[in-house]
Amino acid sequence: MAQKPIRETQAKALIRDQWPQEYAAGKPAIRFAEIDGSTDLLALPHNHPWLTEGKVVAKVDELFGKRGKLGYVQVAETWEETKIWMEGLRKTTATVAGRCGVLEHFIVEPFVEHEEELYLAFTCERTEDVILFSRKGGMDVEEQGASIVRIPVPLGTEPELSQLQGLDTKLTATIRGLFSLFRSLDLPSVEFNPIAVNARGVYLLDCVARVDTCAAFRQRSTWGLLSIPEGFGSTRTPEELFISDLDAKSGSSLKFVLLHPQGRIWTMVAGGGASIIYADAITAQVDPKELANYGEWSGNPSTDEMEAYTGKILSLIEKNDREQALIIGGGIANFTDVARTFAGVIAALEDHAPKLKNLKIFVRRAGPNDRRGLKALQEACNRLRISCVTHGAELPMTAVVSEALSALHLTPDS
Amino acid sequence: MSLLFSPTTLAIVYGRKMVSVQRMLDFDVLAGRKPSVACIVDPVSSAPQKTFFGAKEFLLPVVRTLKEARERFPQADVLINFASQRSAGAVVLEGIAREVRVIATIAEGVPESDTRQWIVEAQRSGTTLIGPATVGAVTAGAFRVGDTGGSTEHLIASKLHRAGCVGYVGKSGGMSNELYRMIAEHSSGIAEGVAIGGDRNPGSTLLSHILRYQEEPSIAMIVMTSEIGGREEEDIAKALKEKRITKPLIAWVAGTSAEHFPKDVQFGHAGAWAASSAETAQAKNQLLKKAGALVPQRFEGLPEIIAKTYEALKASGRVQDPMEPILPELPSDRRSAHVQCTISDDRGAEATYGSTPISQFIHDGSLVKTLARLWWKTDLTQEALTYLEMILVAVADHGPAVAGAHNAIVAASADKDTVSALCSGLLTIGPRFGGAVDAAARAFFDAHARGLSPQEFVDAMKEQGERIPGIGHKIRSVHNPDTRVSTLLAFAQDHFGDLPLTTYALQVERITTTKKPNLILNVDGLIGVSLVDILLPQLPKDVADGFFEAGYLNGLFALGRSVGILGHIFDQKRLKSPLYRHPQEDILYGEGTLD
Repeated sequence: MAQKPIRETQAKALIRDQWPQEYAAGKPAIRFAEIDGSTDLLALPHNHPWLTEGKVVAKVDELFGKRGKLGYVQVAETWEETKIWMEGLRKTTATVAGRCGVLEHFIVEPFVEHEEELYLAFTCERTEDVILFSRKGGMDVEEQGASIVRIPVPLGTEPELSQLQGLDTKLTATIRGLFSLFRSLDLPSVEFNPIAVNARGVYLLDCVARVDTCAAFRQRSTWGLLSIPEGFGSTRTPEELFISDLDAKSGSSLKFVLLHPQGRIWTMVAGGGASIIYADAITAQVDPKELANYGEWSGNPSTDEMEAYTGKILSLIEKNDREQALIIGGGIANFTDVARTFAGVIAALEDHAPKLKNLKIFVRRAGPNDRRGLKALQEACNRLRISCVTHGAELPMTAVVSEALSALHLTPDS
Repeated sequence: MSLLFSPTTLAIVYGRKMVSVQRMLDFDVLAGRKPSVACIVDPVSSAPQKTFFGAKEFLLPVVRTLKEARERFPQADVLINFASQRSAGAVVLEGIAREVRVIATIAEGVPESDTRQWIVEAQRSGTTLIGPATVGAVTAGAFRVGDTGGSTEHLIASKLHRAGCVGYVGKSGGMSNELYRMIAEHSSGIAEGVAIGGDRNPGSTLLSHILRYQEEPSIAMIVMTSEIGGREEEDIAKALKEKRITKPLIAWVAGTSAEHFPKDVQFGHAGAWAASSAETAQAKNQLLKKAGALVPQRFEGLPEIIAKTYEALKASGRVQDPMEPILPELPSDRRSAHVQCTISDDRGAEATYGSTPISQFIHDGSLVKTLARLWWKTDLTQEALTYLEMILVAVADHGPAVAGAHNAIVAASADKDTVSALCSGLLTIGPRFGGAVDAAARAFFDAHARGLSPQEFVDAMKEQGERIPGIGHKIRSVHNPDTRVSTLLAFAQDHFGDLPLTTYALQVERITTTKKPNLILNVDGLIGVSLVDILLPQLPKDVADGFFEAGYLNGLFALGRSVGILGHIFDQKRLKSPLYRHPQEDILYGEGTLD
């Protein structure tokens, strides 16, 4: 669990619904229609009559930026025009920055006549929050250059906005209100680019926000109610959802990301740090497409949890007809019991053994009760006629990767 | 102080983590030091924790609050915080306020804004934070935080029981242990290692520890491992360029695989994602290398660089291989005793009550004196002993009609043996008969402690529809007082000065008796409140803590009344009473409806 981006519609709904009373005067005008995969476009104007009352702006809302440049923003004279545009894009596949995903979510808002566009962002530094402000809204932050004003706000203090001279009071109240939401809602970063101001009010023309999922326990009544999306192109597979659910219910950590279902190298690595190093070792030596997944388990999961976790990964291995290797790796555990966690691995192997014809297992793990655990796993594999080699701390941590690669006749690149 | 811990460092462990505490104590034995844990804080229970130091079992003190831990063990200035994700923050902030020197927080999933608040507070007070989301830190041969270093076997293999010359700092708790082993196999081992945790804003930075190692004379080289995400390496590179770091710094940033993934992957650590191209592992490795750090091509190149660096330092005479100490043996099979006894001992030449030989008690010939030692592990003043004996006399018997005596009479008439008949009488003692002394004492004590006036107390109990325990008698009333109560009260008032709770109870009685004359302070009530005034202040702290839960006062009633019950049993035996059968005309059969 960590920071995760939320959709523009979600961010705007939060701002609209959680706006602090004390800054009521600065509350931005927020009006939008949200379109997801199941929205009936024909019925939409019924709930949002303004859609048919003037110009509208429609944008793809899929957690990636630079939408204007990519052609995913449309300003239309009429709703009918927008509808046709969206129908053309809806549920099509797009590749953005190397990630491939389906365009399903859109946001439609009334077009706002305005002259000035501003840039506003809040971020977290180690001991202070930071407000970034510029009068050149609409451009990327990297392009802002000298126009950008950086206002540090030490934790526990309120922002000092006197640097922003000539700002009208309405906008000051807006900034204070947004800043207070940024803090109270545990949003590690929020960006509004641009904000527009006209005689009638303040408008957030764009909004990008991230939530700190670690704070979910105290944000239950705010964004805790939302379904936090995966990143673009990260539609989760049933196996990923199953393990994510397992993880959520456990006090330990059980992570799994499917990268290439037809890859030949599967990993179940103990430890957040070690799992990165194993992934590095594999991708450094062979075509990264051979790495089937990223997986991590730690925090002394129970035998049952390990059985469920391993079983789910084995079910994916069964579906792949190529000759494959499963690397059960890890460093020297501080407190995770190797024998107890491996008992779960063994139980899952016993369950799946008849279908694991093309699998070789490579193990390197150490920690409390490691000898007992390694021996039990080796004996179980011998009994089940699954090819398996087990190592403890005597083998360098990632040396087992080379063993697996040569067993699959995958010659290292370098 | 440039190392975090020394062989005399003492810690407070927040949370009853038995296994982790035991690991710390095992480390202490291997390192040849005294126990490093001063006490455990357990908000739920102060029952002491059984632990082993080597082969010897002992009781580690447990307190309910950090405040008490700091007061009782002021020399313990390290806090190891095993509180959960939600409560870890409050513990850290209290630790900072109570001037703890180092706080290590193990919890995963602490909200970023909480950690950042700790950092601000800790900077103000000069506290060193380690974590959250870590296993902790270790100073070789001196002190281990919680589970750091793993099981004994690995601890020895990683040479954590004696000091080496390498300072290590990294993000990952799990990897720290792997690195300790790697460093021990390719150099003299670590002097100190810290895992700062995998969050985006950990409580302490990599650089702060590197700069400490730079200052520490016993450290000759530094190893650092980091991960994709965050930009702290820019500060480290700057410190290298500015020659604030001059000792060899071996560094590796993991996460080079991220760029090969077809989708965003959140690694197992919260901080392990790149918000910009400057935060990728490749960029950071390159930056460190350019600034002068020793960066291998891949993680697998680390051992070679460590060995080369160490050998070069050795060749230049800057370091030498340390002597390997002889390790004490840790027993492989330690079994905790099933029964524990703290009040008496029959093993010596003469049995003792407490530490006093029983002949001394026999010589003194006082039952209540013996009782005080065996029940409360203490000696009481002569007045208090006299008062206790008066109570035992007052409750010894109350005629044949009350529940206890009646049951015993029925059992004795059935020709049951003496002990069975006594038990049948004692078994009636409970909330309605003789067993309300503790409840009465507690009810008055709580009301008084909450600052309720006698009237407020009476009103509150009435509102809840509850009787006030210790108030009311079936027969006696203000017009017909209970002489047991008046005699005990007179003695107490004459001999013990201030009796605040007794006075309070008498004020309550004044209110209740205006409503009904029999709502007097009964004998249970008086014994309860007067003993809170007289006995409780004389008890040792560990005994006083559980005063109301242990049931001491009901125990006094049971002891005294046993005398009377036995009397009734012997009486029936002498009288050869026939089997008792209750008369049918005294029983209302059926539902009691009018036909």
